[in-house]
Amino acid sequence: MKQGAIVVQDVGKYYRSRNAGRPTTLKGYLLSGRSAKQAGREAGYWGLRHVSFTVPRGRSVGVVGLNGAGKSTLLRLIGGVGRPDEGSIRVAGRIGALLDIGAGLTEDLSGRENIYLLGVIAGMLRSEVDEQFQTIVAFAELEEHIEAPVRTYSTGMRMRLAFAVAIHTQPEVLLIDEALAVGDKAFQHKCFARVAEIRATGCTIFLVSHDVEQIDSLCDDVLFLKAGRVVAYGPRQETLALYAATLESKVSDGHPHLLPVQETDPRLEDEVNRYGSGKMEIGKVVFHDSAGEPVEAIRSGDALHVTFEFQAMPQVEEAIAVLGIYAEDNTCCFETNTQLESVLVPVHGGKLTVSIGRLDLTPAQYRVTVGLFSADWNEVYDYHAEVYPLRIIGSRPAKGLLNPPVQWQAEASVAPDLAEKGVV
Amino acid sequence: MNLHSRSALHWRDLLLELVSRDLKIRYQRSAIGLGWSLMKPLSQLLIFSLVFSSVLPLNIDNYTTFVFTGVLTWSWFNTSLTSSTIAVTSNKELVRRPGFPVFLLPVLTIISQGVHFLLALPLLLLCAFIQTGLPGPAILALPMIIIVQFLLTLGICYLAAAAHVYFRDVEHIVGIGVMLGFYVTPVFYRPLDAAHRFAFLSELNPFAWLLNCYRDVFIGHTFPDGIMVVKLLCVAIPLLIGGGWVFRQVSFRFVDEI
Repeated sequence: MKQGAIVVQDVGKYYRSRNAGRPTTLKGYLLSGRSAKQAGREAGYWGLRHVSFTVPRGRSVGVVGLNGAGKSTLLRLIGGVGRPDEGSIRVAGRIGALLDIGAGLTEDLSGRENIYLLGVIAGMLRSEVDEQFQTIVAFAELEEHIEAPVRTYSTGMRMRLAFAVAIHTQPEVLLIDEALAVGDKAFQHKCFARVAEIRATGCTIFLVSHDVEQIDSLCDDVLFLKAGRVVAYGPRQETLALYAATLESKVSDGHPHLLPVQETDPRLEDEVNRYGSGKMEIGKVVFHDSAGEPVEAIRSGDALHVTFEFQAMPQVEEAIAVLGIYAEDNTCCFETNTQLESVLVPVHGGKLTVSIGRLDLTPAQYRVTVGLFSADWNEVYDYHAEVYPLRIIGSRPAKGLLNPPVQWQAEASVAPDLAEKGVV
Repeated sequence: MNLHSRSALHWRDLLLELVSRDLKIRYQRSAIGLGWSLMKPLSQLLIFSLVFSSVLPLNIDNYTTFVFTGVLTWSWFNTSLTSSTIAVTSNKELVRRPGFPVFLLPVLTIISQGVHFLLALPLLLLCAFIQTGLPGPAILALPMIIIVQFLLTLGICYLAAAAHVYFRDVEHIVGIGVMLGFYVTPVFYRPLDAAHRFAFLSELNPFAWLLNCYRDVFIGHTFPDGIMVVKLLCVAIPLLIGGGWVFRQVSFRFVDEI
């Protein structure tokens, strides 16, 4: 595994109960022992479930989701705090964290002593703190106060000190939880610039934030969590648009049927696998094989044509259509869109067909996603997430996702005379 | 540099910084600073040596050194255990920090209490010197006995700290336990005679063995009994392995419980 990569596989985290938890006194335990067993299982809930994704080295990923979606839980699990009840998390490389900034300061010690303390707690050696000391002090803008005890500092000064240490730990994986809003505007700007700088050095960044703008400017990919599940993981613009769509529908309460209601696929459920403002609607989605016959399964390496009908409201000006193929574990195998191909979507409704010349995927079960976005990716019109099952059949490769035509050629070299060379 | 030696260096630096933080915040703003750490054992010593040499004479030779050894050793164990018990629960901050080695927390408290013990040690040596003269080569066994005590304490501390995360009662149980332990262990009296009906309290008590070792060195000026040391290690090492194992097993759930 490459340094700086994060691999999360089918992770689940179970919490026993949202309110009471287990009794924390011996008496409580003894008293509840019988009754709890009689009452059956303790009521609990999954804080995270079936979460799988991979962050390659140097990629920066933003995590969005409503409160309680499991963002911070996920961040802590990646940081090695606690252990998932299901699945596995592997992180290669040194982890740095920007969370609970300012919580570890010791009031009675001087700024200098606190820098050493925080630095060592954050995973640095004392010698490394020595090297970074001047930089940290300069970054925190605390040159004059560094020998004064932290109890005499203002809130802003404390935050600056703690942030300055956290940001100079030279991590290979940096976890940030809502921590980029420290101090005044000027300092915030500086923090932001510093994170961007760290990102430029090839550090993997995992950022939890409610500030979509921040994610937009710092992240390559976005992970969208909802009630502990991954809704979408992919390119920033697309995923953020999906997130914005769910936020809007939460505000307006339900999927607005702006267009005349038509027969919808029974597999579609609003806010479960369908998102969007409803200004455009995707109708029937059909797969065809190369002969033009509607199919549900194709042979590996065959052509696939996906056709979907759609209609639109008059105010829609431009749109981008997206087609993605996902494996059973939510890994995206392939995604394309009309913007990449410079194709214009007829905005008054019609029919779109994507022809894939050959689909060299490993035989397995897949799901197809289709979506329509506004031209600036800011709005999702309609998005059917992993709704349409597609089966690929045929002979499989030894492992992996790809199944291209393969031919081995064996050619024996002229047999060397080993005895002559004195090997035998 | 390989990964292991780096984390070992990091643990060393963490212990150094956290122990010095502990000591600094406790004494930095007081007039006689670390001197306070000597006050409690010294005042205990004063009481015991007055009471049991004049009021209720126990007729133990070199009683001041005898009781000083007991009080000092016991107070290291006592303070270590009581503060280790809450070591995890009172350091939520550190437990929640990615990459923080939680297993260091009990080690940390024992070491920082151990500093007080070490600071008082010269006084004990002085006292022993006045009462019994130069200690001779037996004094070389002292670091080994201290290490044995450290290991023995650590095993117990791991169990107590882990249990306290789940049951907050443990704190009170430990409090009562060490108080009873003080009287059950021959800290200020001679180990009970084999004929005594409560002799098992001294014979089966690892802390009685430990005190014997210390007293052999300080008062008897002899190397501690080898069998005694082996017996101590036979208790301390399995206890440490078991305690450490339990602590590790439950440490993954600490963050959900505190």
